[in-house]
Amino acid sequence: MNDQIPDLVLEQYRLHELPPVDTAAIADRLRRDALLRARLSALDASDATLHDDVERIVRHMLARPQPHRPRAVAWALSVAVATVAIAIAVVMRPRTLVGPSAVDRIKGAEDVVRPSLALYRRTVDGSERLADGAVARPGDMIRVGYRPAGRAYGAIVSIDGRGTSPSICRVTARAPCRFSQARPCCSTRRTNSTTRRNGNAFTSSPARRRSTSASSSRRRRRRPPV
Amino acid sequence: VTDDLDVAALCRRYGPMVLRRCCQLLRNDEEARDACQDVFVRLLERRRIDAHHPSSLLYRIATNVCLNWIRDRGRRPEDAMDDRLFSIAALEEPGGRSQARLLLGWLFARRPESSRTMAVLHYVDGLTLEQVAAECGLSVSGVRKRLTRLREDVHR
Repeated sequence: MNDQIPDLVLEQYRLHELPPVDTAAIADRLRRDALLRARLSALDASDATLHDDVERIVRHMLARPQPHRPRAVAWALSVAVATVAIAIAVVMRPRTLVGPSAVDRIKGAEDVVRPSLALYRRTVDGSERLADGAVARPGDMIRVGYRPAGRAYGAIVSIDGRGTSPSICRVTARAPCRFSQARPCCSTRRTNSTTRRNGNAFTSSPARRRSTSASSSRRRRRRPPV
Repeated sequence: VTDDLDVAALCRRYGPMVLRRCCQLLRNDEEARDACQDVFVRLLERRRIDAHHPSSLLYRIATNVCLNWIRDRGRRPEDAMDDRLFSIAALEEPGGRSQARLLLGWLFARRPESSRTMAVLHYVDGLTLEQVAAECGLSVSGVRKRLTRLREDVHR
């Protein structure tokens, strides 16, 4: 048995689902190991803490329609009835369009989250969010956070105070990207060559990775390039 | 093996273990509660379980559900009050963690779900190969082979 007993094994010990040999080994270890006793006590305390949450889940489970297993005869009968019903429905189908019922809903229509940006400045003990109009000093490390809100791509354009140095960052994946100088017309070009000092961007929930490596040719065939 | 599942009783007995597992992997109480419910729904759909060791099965289902949940996080729009950006901004080197996450996502997408679960049980939870084999109902050599393939993919 390992020096550190895995959580699963400890859980199984508490549930009396371990083989007798392992149960005896853990019981023996418990007598000698204060740390293990503390882990066990923590699990006991956690059980009490989680009691309400578990009861809530039980209520949800009981409220669900229970799947039942029809017997063979009942199954055959129901298939026959369904077949007849479908045949009648097809023959007598009214020629009108049926509108959405009261329970229909459009998935994702509520609480729409829009893509947004946030600026953060590194501090000694973490980072601080910069409000609109906040002043950054020379040497500050500024990070740009982009919330994609489910979008596959995003482009962040940065223009300096004089309005003459547009930088562009194309956010496509979980990996952070660097700001780089960009020509005004190349808004979707990934450029990493000239990195602006102390600036990078990251996403909080980006889209799936799109591989550009040679090994992903199969995937490229399936999905046309954007 | 039992046919008539008393899910309420199973939930009361194993719910805390499953919920702890979900919290451990998801690190988000609300998501953990939803995932825990998913675990018991999956159990309900199975209709029959090994009555002697439900804990193994439930732990494995919970691991699987949580890994799917983590995988799907990137596909779901976040809520408006998401403070994940802030936590990323505070990281010393956000790139390293993101790259690792990408690599794991890519890797696990190429391998069966069971390999993913085995990797978590062995590398994250610290179960021995024998214990993983017992939990997953495979031979030790089978588990070793799957994990070796995963490691080879990472090195490649």
